[in-house]
Amino acid sequence: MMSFLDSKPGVPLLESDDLVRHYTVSRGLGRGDAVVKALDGVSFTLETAKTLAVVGESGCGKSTLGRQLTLIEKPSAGALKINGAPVGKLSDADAKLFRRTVQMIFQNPYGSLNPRKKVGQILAEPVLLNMDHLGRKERTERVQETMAKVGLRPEFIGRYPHMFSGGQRQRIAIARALILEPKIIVADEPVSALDVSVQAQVLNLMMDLQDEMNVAYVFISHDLSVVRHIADDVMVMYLGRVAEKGPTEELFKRPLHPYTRALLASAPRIDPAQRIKSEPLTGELPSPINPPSGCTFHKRCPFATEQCAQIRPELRPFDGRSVACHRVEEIS
Amino acid sequence: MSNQTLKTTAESADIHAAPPTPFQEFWQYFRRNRGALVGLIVIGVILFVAAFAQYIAPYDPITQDRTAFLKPPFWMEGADPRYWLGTDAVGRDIMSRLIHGAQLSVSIGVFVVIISMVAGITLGLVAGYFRGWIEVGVMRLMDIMLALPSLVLALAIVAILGPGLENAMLAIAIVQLPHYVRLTRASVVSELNKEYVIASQIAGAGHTRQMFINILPNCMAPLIVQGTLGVSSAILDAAALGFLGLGAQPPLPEWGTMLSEAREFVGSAWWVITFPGLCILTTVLAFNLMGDGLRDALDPKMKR
Repeated sequence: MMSFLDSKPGVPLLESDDLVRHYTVSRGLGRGDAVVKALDGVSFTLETAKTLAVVGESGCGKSTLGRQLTLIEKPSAGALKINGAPVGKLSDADAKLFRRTVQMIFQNPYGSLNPRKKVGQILAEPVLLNMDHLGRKERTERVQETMAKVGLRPEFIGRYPHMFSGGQRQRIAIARALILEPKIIVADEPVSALDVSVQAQVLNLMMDLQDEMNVAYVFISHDLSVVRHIADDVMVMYLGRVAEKGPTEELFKRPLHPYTRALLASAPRIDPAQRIKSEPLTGELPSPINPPSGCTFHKRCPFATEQCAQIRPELRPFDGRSVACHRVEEIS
Repeated sequence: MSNQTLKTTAESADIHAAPPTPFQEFWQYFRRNRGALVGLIVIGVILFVAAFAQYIAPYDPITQDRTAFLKPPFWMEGADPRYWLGTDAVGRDIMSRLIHGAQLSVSIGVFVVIISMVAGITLGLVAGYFRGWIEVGVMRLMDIMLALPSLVLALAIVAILGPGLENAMLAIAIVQLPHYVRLTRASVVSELNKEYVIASQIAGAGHTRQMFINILPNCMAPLIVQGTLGVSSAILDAAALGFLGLGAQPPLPEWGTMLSEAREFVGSAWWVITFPGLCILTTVLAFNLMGDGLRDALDPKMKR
């Protein structure tokens, strides 16, 4: 039996192979159901103690990806492997192992902590449910250790979430994700609900914890400056598909996909010399119910040709990264 | 880097201004509402009287005094000084009956609310949590129950079960059920999409834990209010059933039943019918005032 917990040499910690999530939505009386392709074939790997950032506009499927990785929802198709072990239908024991491997941090620390529970109870829940061998005393010790790790004072254990500031709440949420000592943490916009000054503290905490505990992050964000600060690799998503994937610095210095260019150009910069020259992005994100033919980006792309409107570009290696664009050679 | 210093300053700010506990906050809002306070005091008095009825009441509520039929209250001419609020047609002390009646009315109110709250919360929780056909089934059944006038429905249930205090209570509990089910379901549905529920799901919480330990405590505020108001409508409904002869049976000193027995003396002996009526009025009013105060104090939308 392969286990999620044991790493094997040469096998990536997390491997997603052509992950698909389609939702069926009712369009009202007398009309058939429509299919929303929220996630349409996403493949990537994640190594131990690395950070993969997933960026894109709202509605591009990045949060949906997070929901599949944490098994909040079951993917419609595709495979997910952790340390080489496939994540499919899990028995109760396997589900416990899975939860000790993958945990999640949510965007809004005002919504992700149960307002009627004390910090100690919130943090103890994952331990109580997944580590049967621990007694009450050991559980409390573990809660206190984890609180110390994220910089929360031990006396906070008996307080309710509403007594804390946003940054401290997010620390509690991080502690809850860490308490099982997972290998992977999916962080869905973990700092976007916080003040900028607090954002830096929380990000630094996350990076310190990564060094200390060798945890890998799937960091979902739309804030490019935050991504550049924290990520090892970046995956740019557009309409449920990967547009470009590569090491952070290279991708930021020289974006290849026209969509990545537009995205980076849209981030404000103080120094005019640093601004990336690019055609401004026009139009709206198309509906994932009825995506454009060929390359889903062709209607907004300044480089689009006849070929782009007809044939869907697959992700292919180019210059040390992966890009899904027919004309990447010419554009670069 | 300066991470460490930032951490400590962020924490020290919180230690000094420890925010009020939820109860302190609640009490502050509740205290400002005069009517609710009066209601609370009146309810306190009624509960005290009900609890110690045996010791407070001067006479046994069902003992008849053949020498004193329909005696008026003490301030009227021809009053018997032993009976402060007079006697009824068979010579029972009205004050003693009212005091013992408080015991009955309070227990009717409390038991009815407990029965229908437990059943209603469970049904609403299941309907709101699992959605789908369970929800459709439960909620449509509740809609049907709501479509019937409550007293008519209660009458029908008592007619099936047979008259008597226990059956009347059961009937009233069934009649009140839809309110709790609807309220619980609505709160559960809105809580279900919150991230803390998903976080617990990722932590591995099963359905029972999610429903009763994680979600339910967050839905209690409107239910507490409804429960308080439910006590008053249960007392009122029980009185109505008693008045119609289907609730508490004589000689039990239930207020509604007392009204019913005194009907023929409305013209000649007003005190026989006025005092039980006043008792019902006061009790119901007190519970309603307190319920309104609770609603104002517990509803975040009413807070400034």
